[in-house]
Amino acid sequence: MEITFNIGGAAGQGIDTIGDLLNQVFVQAGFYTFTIKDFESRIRGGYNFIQIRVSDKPIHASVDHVDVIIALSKDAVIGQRDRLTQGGVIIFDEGIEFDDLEACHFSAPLEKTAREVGGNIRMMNAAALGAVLAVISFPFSLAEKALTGIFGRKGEKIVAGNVNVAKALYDLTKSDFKGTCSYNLETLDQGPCKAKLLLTGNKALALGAIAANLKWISSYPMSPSTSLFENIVAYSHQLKIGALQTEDEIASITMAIGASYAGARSMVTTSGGGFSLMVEALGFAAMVEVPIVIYNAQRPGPSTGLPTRIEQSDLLFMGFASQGEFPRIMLAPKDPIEGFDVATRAFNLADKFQIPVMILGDQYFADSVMNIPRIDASGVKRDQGKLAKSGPDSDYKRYLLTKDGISPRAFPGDKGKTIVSSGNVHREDGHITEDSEMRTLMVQKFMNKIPAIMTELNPPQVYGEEKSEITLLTWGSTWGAANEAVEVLASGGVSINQLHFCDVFPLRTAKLREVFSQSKQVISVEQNITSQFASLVRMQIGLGVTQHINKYDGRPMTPGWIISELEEGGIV
Amino acid sequence: MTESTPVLRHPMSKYIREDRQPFIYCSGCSIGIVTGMLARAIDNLGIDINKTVIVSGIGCTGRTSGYFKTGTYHTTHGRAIAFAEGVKIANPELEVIVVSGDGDISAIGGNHLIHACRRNIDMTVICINNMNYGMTGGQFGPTTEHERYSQTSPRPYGNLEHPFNLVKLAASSGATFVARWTAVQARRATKSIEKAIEKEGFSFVEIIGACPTAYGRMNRLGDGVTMHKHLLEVAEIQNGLPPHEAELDYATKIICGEFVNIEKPEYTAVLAEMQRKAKGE
Ligand SMILES: Cc1ncc(C[n+]2csc(CCOP(=O)(O)OP(=O)(O)O)c2C)c(N)n1
Ligand SMILES: [Mg+2]
Repeated sequence: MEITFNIGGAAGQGIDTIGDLLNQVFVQAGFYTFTIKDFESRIRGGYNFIQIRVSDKPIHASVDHVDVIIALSKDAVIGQRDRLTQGGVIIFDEGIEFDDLEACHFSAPLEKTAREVGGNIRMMNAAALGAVLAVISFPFSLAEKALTGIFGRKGEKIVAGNVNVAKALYDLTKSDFKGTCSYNLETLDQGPCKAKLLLTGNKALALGAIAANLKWISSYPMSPSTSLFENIVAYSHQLKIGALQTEDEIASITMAIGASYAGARSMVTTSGGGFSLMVEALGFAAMVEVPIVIYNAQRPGPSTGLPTRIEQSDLLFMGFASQGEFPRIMLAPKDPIEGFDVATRAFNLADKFQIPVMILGDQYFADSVMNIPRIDASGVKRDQGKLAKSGPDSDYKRYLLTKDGISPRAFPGDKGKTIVSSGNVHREDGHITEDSEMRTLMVQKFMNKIPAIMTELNPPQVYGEEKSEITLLTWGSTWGAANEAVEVLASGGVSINQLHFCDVFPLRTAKLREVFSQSKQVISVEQNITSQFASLVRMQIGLGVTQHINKYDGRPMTPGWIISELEEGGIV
Repeated sequence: MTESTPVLRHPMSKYIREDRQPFIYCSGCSIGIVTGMLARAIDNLGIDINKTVIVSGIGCTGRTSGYFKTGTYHTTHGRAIAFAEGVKIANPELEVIVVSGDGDISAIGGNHLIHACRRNIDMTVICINNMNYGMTGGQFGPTTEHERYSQTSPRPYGNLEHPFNLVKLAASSGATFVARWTAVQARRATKSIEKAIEKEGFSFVEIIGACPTAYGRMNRLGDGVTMHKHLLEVAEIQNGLPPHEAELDYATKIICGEFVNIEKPEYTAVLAEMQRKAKGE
């Protein structure tokens, strides 16, 4: 079973609520869902849509076709109808005028029913749900459950109103809809999926950060990162997390580095433009060896670019941002499940190596919703790394030279220890120096951390047959689309696999070398124009990919698009 | 005899890029009204739109520049004034007008605001203060009142912080013309914008506006009409009041008027004079 819905309309019309409702219905019924959100950088109007893909198998990507369109505006029909599959249906409000009404179009009194039955046009969302479920012959009882789940806390009256509206439209559609939808789910059994937690990447990161004992977050709103910050703000007082919205990103990161110096696990959230402003302080954090976690939900740049759309083009910028040389770690989670894990690891890595750890997301990762199993936070390990022995120590040196480059940490206010830190080159005791020998030792101290960092990072993963003729090389959120493309092609007899990186910097090279020697073709698939990850690979191991697949229109990759690129390139 | 044109055109449409319409603004938003004020001010003054540059930052208000037929410069978040300073100093013959949001101008761009005031560069800054970050979905900002609700100061606690009074800030930073109006006082506000443009020096005009979609909804202030009616009710005109007395309390009293109009050597004029001296003229 697989079915794709597209819900479109203007910003502010409530397409998100319809999406939530549909998601709930299918999740409760035991299916895997994957939802992407496509919206313009504006608060009202325009044309936005969400795509919900439902399947009885795990899914991680959006697709190019759509089976059922729910249109709240004319643009929402025009924008999607070329993608409608044979036997697909378009449901739209009767208020939208169309000249070329085809059988697959169903003009439904969504607004009218909401007004007349529910007494509130906001209940149009419930109306839409009723119509959709009728068109695909899905049992209505599930709608009731979903509506109670979503509107329950608004009281019985609201729930009842919504249920009545949904039911009215359900019944009306059953009798009035003359077209045939190729999806008849009447006899559908409970699906196989037990995962009931609907989560976005940003929310997963927020939960991971909380599980990791986050104590400070300072941010300045910037799409598509803001929802992470907002998620933590919502619980900050209960959890005693300092959550400060600053006057700009320079203040965000400097406050966070201040909080971290004082001993709080700290993070900032931003997008590329904000990260640009943070760069000076990034170098400072490195110089004073204060741990910090930075989340950059990348967006198409340069400058304001496309605020609400997708790109992976800050990889090299983040890898090399700041004057000077120092170690840093970059992690790019592929989906919400990995997001939770990445967030918890990021704080441990930052503490352990006393360096900046950067998480790279993008709008696809940040806003896409999937249902995942309950997260067990009890397994989360908190490792603060080397700490100085407690008790007075007048000889305490914050930057003590050690073999592994890591000096035991202590914090201002600790009894009998003085913490001296400076962004200038400093001695072991933290006081500034221009001594050439000390400078050399301190630079080496930074770099001495790298071997241990390498062993702590996760190696890349191969998906599909270990040995294949073709390998798709991916990182971060493009995993899903490439993974499905590989599955489709492999099941059709193509010898193809995927080598995927979450931990992208510093680069673990062993597996790369192996794959480069095994596969005839290694093809990078990236959401940027310059194949930044492939460049990084070449820089590190001197081996270049054979072909590049690049997308830079700000829209998500789909398995179908990757396959057609491979076909056009004569590769498959 | 003149032929009548069948299509009614807005008298200000000669300054507005109709091909970029409809505006992106939500219904009930004040930004469209302020766009109209600026168009009328330009019209009343008869200034050459080819010699006018409208600069804005990022945000809902920041999108204003793109609707004008003047030269426009839609820059980065917070830096509109700094970009504008460059424009003005490079070519002092240009009429430079900045239109941007409260967050843009007083949060991330606060530093540029105070320094441009201090420098006294001839330009006009129109700040539409809707008391929150509209574009990013309604977070609080440096103009959000204490204990008000927003996406990032949610119920039940509200905003921990205290707002700037932008009139006081601009005045004490050295602006030579400072006024405040609400979006409903269109005629008076337009007049002040004209004076601000004519003023040879740094002019700051704050327009208190409504953001019913975000700030209004979260603080239960009603729809756009209700919010604008409220603005009219609480606006109290006190022209000439010392700026440090120009209080602003959304619920009860918004003191409006022109508070500063002083003379001070203007930066680009002083610069030109120095260059003449350096050349021995
Ligand atoms: C460096 C940077 N940080 C954050 C953002 C995101 N951002 C865009 S507009 C905006 C706030 C706009 O608020 P305001 O200036 O009050 O304008 P309004 O939308 O309310 O008119 C923010 C935070 C950005 N574009 N650039
Ligand atoms: Mg604002």
